[in-house]
Amino acid sequence: MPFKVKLDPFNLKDPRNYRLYLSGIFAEVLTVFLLMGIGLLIVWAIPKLIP
Amino acid sequence: MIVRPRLADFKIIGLYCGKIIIGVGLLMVVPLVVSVLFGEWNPAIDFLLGIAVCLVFGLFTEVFCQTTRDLSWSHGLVVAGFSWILATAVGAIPHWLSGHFGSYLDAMFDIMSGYTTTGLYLLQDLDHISNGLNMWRHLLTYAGGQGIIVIALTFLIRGTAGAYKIYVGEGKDERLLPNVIQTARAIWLISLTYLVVGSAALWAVGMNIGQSPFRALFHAVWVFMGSWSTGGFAPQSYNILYYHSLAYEIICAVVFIVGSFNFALHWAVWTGKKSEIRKNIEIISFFITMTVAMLITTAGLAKLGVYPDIASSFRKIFFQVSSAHTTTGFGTIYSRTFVVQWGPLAMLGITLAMAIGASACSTAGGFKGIRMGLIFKSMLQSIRRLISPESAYVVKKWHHITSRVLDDAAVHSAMLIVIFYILTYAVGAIIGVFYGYEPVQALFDSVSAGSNTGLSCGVTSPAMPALLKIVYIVEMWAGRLEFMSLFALGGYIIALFRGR
Repeated sequence: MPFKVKLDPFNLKDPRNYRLYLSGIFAEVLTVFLLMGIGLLIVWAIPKLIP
Repeated sequence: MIVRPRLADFKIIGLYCGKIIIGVGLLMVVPLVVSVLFGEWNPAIDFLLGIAVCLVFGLFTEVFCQTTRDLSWSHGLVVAGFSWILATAVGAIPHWLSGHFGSYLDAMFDIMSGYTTTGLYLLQDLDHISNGLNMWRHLLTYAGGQGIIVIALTFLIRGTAGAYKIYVGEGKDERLLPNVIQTARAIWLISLTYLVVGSAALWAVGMNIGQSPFRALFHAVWVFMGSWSTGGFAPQSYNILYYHSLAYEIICAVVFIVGSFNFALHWAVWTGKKSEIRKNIEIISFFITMTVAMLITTAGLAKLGVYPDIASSFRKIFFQVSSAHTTTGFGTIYSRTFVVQWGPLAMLGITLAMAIGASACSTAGGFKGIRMGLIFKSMLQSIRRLISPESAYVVKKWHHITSRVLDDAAVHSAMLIVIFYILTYAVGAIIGVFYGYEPVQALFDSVSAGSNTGLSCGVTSPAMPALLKIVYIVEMWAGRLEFMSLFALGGYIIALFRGR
């Protein structure tokens, strides 16, 4: 029966943890760039709506 | 009946406060080392004196307040509230001895601003202070962001069941892991990993814009500390405008926005639950309120035609609004630009962003996204109840790490804290108006202090009235600890006089 080995996130000797940290950082940074995209859209659209 | 605190209660409070002050003293070793490295002997002596006072106080409490009792809830809250005042008083020693402050009150203002990650400052001649003092300012804000109690929990307080009670008192009421000490370590793991990644990116950009490698490294670490802890202290008086670099601004914005996320969210994402980002009530709330603040600020600036093109508008507006909303306080415009160029509507957009703030259990201040989300969902639930048949049972769910059903107790508690924040903002604004400042400007700086943001439109300065400085110090303290510890401390003082 296949089973998943649970990582100990505090074990800094395990290289798989670094992959986990980096993918976490990547996901969070991507969220910020999405927010920047929304901001850019607002700054582009609003001056066109104001006479 | 109010029970008067006994000697045993004071002993336990004194013991834990002493441990936290020892922690502050140990923190001063870092700027001391920096001062010695740069051959800045006067600041080094200032830090040695500061360390000596902290250690003497800490050892005094270890000897005279020794007890085997564990903390109760009220003890934990009082320790959290009182230790911040003590840490501010002793942390101000090197600041005051540096000669850059007009009074001890000014030095305490800057220390409270640092611990609470506010970023307002009364320091004079910032561009010419020693490297040691600059390191102390930024270390304060970095340590304050994670929580000085968290530091003590990690390094000084071990194996106590009552530790969670002081941790909650500091405004962080979430356990990332079942054990509170493990939670504190998880917070440090996340913060230190980002410290390495973020500082490296800022260092590379710093060297690219012409700073020497050594200077670029120190600026990178300091600016990272100011960003990640949503603090707002910068090594130069022009703040981030000093660097004139788009790349520097983008990295700062990424760091302070990510820094404003809930540590529980970080931990969930870092341990593989990526979908938490799009489901989490705080992230959704942050995206909505950030959009509203951007709309108001952009409308104000577009009406006045302040910026000529989309690129410059976006660069200035997004940085200022996101800095305000995450309660960081970094700026790429001068303080008075808010008044003389941006105008009242854009200032109200920024004020709204500051008042709301970012996530709970993060380094940010303000109402917090989770409360805004809960109140908004409660409003929707009430409307649905009105339009549904009488027999219908309307259930609303919200998601933060796990899915939960919206209950009245959570909404009541969220609304209560938001009301306290509004009252705090109002008191500071009224006192500002009393001293002759324009209402919009008085509100702007009061909200900035109460929400631990640090943007100023010019009200905060060494020349401001002493009472207003004290009010802002109390606002910063109350806003950071989210009132609970403040009330516990007040209750203890009342019990001291009126208890039996």
